[in-house]
Amino acid sequence: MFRTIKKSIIQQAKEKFFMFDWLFFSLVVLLICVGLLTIYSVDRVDTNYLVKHSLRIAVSVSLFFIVAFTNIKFWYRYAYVFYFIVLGLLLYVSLFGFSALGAKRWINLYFFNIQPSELMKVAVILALARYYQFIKIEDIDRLSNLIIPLFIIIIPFFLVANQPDLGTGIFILIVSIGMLWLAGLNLKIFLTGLVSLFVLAPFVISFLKPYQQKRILTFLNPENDPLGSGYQIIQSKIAIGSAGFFGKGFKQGTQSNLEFLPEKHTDFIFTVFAEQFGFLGSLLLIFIFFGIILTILTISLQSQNNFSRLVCFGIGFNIFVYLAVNLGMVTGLLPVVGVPLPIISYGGTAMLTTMFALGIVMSAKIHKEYKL
Amino acid sequence: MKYFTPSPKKGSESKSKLISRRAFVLTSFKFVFLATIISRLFYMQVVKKDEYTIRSDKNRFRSWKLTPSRGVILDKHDHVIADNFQVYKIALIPKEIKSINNFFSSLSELIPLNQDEIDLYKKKLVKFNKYQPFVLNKNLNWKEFSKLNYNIQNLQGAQPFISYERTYKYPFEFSHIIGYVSAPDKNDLNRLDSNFREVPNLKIGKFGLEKNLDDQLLGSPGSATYEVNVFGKRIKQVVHEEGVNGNPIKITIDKDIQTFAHHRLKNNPGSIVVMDMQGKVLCCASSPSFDSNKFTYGMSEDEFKALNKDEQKPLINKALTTAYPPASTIKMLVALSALENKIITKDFKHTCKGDVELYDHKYHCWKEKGHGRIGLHEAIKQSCDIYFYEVARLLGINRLQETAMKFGLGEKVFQNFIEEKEGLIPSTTWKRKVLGKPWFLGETMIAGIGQGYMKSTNVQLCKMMAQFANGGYKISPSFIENEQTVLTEKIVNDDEYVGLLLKSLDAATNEPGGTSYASRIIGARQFAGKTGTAQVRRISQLERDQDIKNKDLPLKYRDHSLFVGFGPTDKPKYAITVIIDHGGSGSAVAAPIARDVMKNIFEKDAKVNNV
Repeated sequence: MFRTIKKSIIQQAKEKFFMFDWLFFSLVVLLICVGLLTIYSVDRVDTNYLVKHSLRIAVSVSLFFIVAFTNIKFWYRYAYVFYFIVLGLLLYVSLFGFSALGAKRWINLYFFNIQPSELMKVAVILALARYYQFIKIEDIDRLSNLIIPLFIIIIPFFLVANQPDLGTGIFILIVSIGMLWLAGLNLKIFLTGLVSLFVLAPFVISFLKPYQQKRILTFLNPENDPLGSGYQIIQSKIAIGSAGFFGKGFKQGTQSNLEFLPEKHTDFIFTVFAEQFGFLGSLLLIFIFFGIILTILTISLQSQNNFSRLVCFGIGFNIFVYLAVNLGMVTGLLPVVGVPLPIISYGGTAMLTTMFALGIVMSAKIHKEYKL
Repeated sequence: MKYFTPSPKKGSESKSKLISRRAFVLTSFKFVFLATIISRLFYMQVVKKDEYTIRSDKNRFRSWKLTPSRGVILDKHDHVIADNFQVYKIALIPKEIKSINNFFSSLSELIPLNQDEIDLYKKKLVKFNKYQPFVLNKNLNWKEFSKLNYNIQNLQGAQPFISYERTYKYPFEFSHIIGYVSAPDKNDLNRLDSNFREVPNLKIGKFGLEKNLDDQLLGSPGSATYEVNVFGKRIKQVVHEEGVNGNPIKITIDKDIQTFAHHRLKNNPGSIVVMDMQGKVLCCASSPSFDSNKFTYGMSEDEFKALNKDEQKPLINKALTTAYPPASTIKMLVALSALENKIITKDFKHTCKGDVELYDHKYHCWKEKGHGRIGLHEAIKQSCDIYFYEVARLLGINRLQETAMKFGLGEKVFQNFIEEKEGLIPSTTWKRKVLGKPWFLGETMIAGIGQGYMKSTNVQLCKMMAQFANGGYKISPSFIENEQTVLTEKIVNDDEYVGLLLKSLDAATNEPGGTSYASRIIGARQFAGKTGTAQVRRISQLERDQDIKNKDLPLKYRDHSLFVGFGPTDKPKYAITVIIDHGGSGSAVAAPIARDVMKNIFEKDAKVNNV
């Protein structure tokens, strides 16, 4: 008896090991390396980004493995619990959070500044997927079945938006709407929601305090921003454009070396990369991203249960939205929203959250034969 | 590809199928984005690459013009008159400054600046060309300069640099003839080579020889290109082209004579010009003077206004700019013209009764009682007006004009001096053409004593005198030392007449009864000349009857005092002209000054010869 159990554990581990998608993982590692390389190219002795970044990678990759080899059943079971813990953290930062630039977003850990709003994106995906696992397709459009998901979405949205981080709030909203649509909600419901948003928005805004209104205006029209985001975009475009087909060469980016680029290691890291490696490098980088996104799609399609399926779609969509908004921003197609490039940008929580989310995707693949 | 098969109705398909189908739609959107972003990158990095490269280079390269050091000006004996010294300066690049207020508040933490200065700079910056470096009118010391360089990254738009500043060793003595430099205005920049655009702290000649010789003194600017970071801090030098410094120029002015003349003039508004027989100008002083160094550093508006409004016109070079009636100083020329045209002989005599009437108009001699029967020699010596009325009447204005023009009156003496005036030698044609009126005989008569329309500058009279004194050779006066001049072209037909006239001048100064006898250099016949007293208005009969003295008149109505002379009398070396504005009679004011200057020159010559 004892022997058979032990054998089956080894057997299990072996199976899991073979089920692990090594190609997917190497794509992720490739991106991590690109991130390291780019951060190295702009690092200085006094900033020391590289060491901190490597440390975070180590932690995040470990988390990725832990999550990947944990049965997806675990995340299904504790989806709501996880959601409420993150909600609690979010409440905590709103009340006692570590304030940076006047916005309360952080919980200060030793070398990580945890941003609960980042974790919330995954938590919302998990909670929604969990909720829709049970709803029958015939009942999905029923109003009573809409109430809980709405609360799951709205509460964190307001908490995050009030930090104030309207940007991340809207990201949560977009990813959630994507989830709802994937879950099978009728298009009419989205249209109704959209119309009612437009009708209600003026009333809501008039109830807001002046500083809150100002925040919304700054978000909608970043050119009014005193920090001069228009300038940032111009410099970013110059850097990308002047790189040409092959780029200026490793560590030869003049725009970044001479400090013309803002936020080099975080939001504008793609610009730094593109300046050095040109159109060719940018193309390769984007293809790697799409490789990852498509692998996630394949994994979700192969999943045997709707929870895994929805979670994977949600995570894939989440990464895509980040990628799209970041690239849109640095190439001047979209307004400036402070969004990091997933996996590559310097930044603790974003890295941790992304690797955590990818871990769940991998877990869904490894455990696709398991029943919930 | 089961996802492509259309599902008939929502209810009939399974939930997982629905999810997959919608995921597929979403993925299609992702590919649309992929195409968008790739075409965007292609557009930026391949199609528009050159445009962005230019903008990127514009970001990182700053070219900086290197101000050439202006040519030094030396006097006849190699004394430095105008020099340059190195200064530490700061320039602002207006287009790089985001907030002027913040900029100045940060700057005032590094270098001493008071609020008034800041306000003034701000006011000037508003009107300033955004792409030119705006140089603060302030010299920094080494400590401030290095502090500024050290903190440059906190001060975007500031550029400390090393430059040269003009300085004059004798700012008052030479102010008019050397002139001054100051920052070029828009017109100056348009006139200059485009190379001079954006040269920081560029100063160009605005007046005097500084302007006259600007092309040679300026040199040409060098340039350097630096790679800079976003704060404007220079990272490395990419290109360096050395400029060419201005040529040193040796001028003919003698520092000692100039200084002496300047101090001798002192409170008399007027001018002194000394030339040698070749036309080299040894002294060109004008009074009152001003501090030419002040223009280099930028004068305050009040200071400039005060100078500009001063009744004695300190900003004007009276030797070149002011044209006076030559008065009796013209008499040799009238005599020469009459002699050469055979109108009179050297023995021509005329009677002076103190006045003469022509067409109901009385013409007076300065001596009321008259000189009696008088010849040419005495007429010049005593400066008899009646004699010269008669000579002029016989001669006619046109012949007089011809001779005067030959001697260089009525035209500019120098080239390219914007401040120089031509003066005027009238003729019948001129009057008809310019004034549209016929010529009157009375006008010829007063022209004979250098009054009426006739106007000459100090340098013109000096040139005339020098051409008499050198025996009638044409000269082209100049301020540049190295130009060798040989006297070849004669402007008189007969040497005898010139000798005769010079002798008369000698008598005028060195023999009792001569107009400037009181101003002779006692002991030796070294110096001689002709006085002149120029009326600035017509004296009415009433005033003559009341015997109103010149000094009782308001200043602006008083006579100009003139003296033209030469020396030494036996072998002339120098010609001198002194004109004192509203100074009174020539013999009382101008002649003693001329004597003192000549005496000083002779003493200096003697000293040099003894050594």
